[in-house]
Amino acid sequence: MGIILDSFNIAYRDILIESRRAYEIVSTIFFAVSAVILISVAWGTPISITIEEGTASLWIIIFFTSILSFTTSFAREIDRGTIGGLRTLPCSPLAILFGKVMYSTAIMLIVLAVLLPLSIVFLNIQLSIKFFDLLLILVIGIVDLSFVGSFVSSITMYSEGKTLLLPFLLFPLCLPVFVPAMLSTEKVLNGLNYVDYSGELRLLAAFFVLVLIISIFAFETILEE
Amino acid sequence: MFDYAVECKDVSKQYGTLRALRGVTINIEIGDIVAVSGHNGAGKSTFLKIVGTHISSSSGNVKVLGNDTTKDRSKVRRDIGFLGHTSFMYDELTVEENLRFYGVMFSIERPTLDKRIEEVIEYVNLERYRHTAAKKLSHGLRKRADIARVFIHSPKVLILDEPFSGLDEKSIKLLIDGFKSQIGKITMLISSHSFEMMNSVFNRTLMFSEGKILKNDRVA
Repeated sequence: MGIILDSFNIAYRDILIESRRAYEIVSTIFFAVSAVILISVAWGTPISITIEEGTASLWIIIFFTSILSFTTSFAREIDRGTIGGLRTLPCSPLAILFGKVMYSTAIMLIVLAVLLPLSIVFLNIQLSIKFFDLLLILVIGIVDLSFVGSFVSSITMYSEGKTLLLPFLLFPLCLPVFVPAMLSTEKVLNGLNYVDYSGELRLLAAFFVLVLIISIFAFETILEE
Repeated sequence: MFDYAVECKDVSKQYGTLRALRGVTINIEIGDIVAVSGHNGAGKSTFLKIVGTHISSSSGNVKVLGNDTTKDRSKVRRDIGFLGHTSFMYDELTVEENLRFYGVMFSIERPTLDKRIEEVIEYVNLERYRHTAAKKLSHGLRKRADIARVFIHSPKVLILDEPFSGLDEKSIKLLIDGFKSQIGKITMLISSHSFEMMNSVFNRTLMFSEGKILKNDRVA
């Protein structure tokens, strides 16, 4: 219980900081909005975009937008020296990582709230088909992506070229999230049932567990100076 | 029961080929106020960071109030207040919000935390700035806010790395008076380049040179 409460407090603090830097979240949303419109224009008329094309576009936008959030996640703590403050806390090191995951997830859910309605108009995504199934997959995918992204962000935080290194490392490491999330979204939008995409959900869960195990063993060392 | 506030046994730290600490063995008694001195790169900050659980030693063993800094890190951190070279305050949060965040992370209950925030803000004389964002504070005021943070969870051992850097004489005097009021209550390890103003506070001095303790004197 303690670790969850500590994670929540860290996430709350990050969200409070973000609320005082509203221009950052606005720029993230603006990036997502412009990407949707540009992709839609590139495909031609929105009505001609297939489910496969729309789904792929949606996840690509989610992926690139999430990078904006991960680059500030741990890097900001290093750049401002507040990482030392995190090292004074008596909580489990994992609470700090989970706090960052919660924060990134919250930011991405705000982006998703803007992105989804736009996707109906510009990417021809039909929300009426199994809306809650679709939402579940998107949320699971975003949580997975936030976990991997926050972990990679912590690995790269000490590097001088972290803004370059993060996307380089994130791209191959996110494929096990990206591919099943995209395939399951496609299946839901095609009207298939849970049994048809449960394999992809299991893959997402398995990858989450794998990153969790690596974090348990590695994160304390990463956090050390 | 533990006999010492800090026990270091044959502690070494290596950064690649650089040996920052070389087999440091020292026991610091409860209530000691220790001046940690030495040239740049002598190993004093590394020593303080190891005791403060910010880094692990390459070899050797460190205990704070009987708890091992590697195995019981969480317990050690509850007993320690650490002030580093850089500020640990968050720019966008006010002084009070920063203190509240750290207090909550040390599991201090709401009514106790409210009272504690009042006390530490008064201690560093920052009443006027409690609702000011940390980024709007001058260097000296920010340092004082950081010192308030260090005291928020009533630590038993204080580790202060260069606490007076960037402070004017008045602020230094204010802090030293504060430290004097803590004599006998808590153990303090203070590193600085200039100790002239603090001679009346210390009862022990440690001088580091090339990763070793060169002098370990008790002040009468």
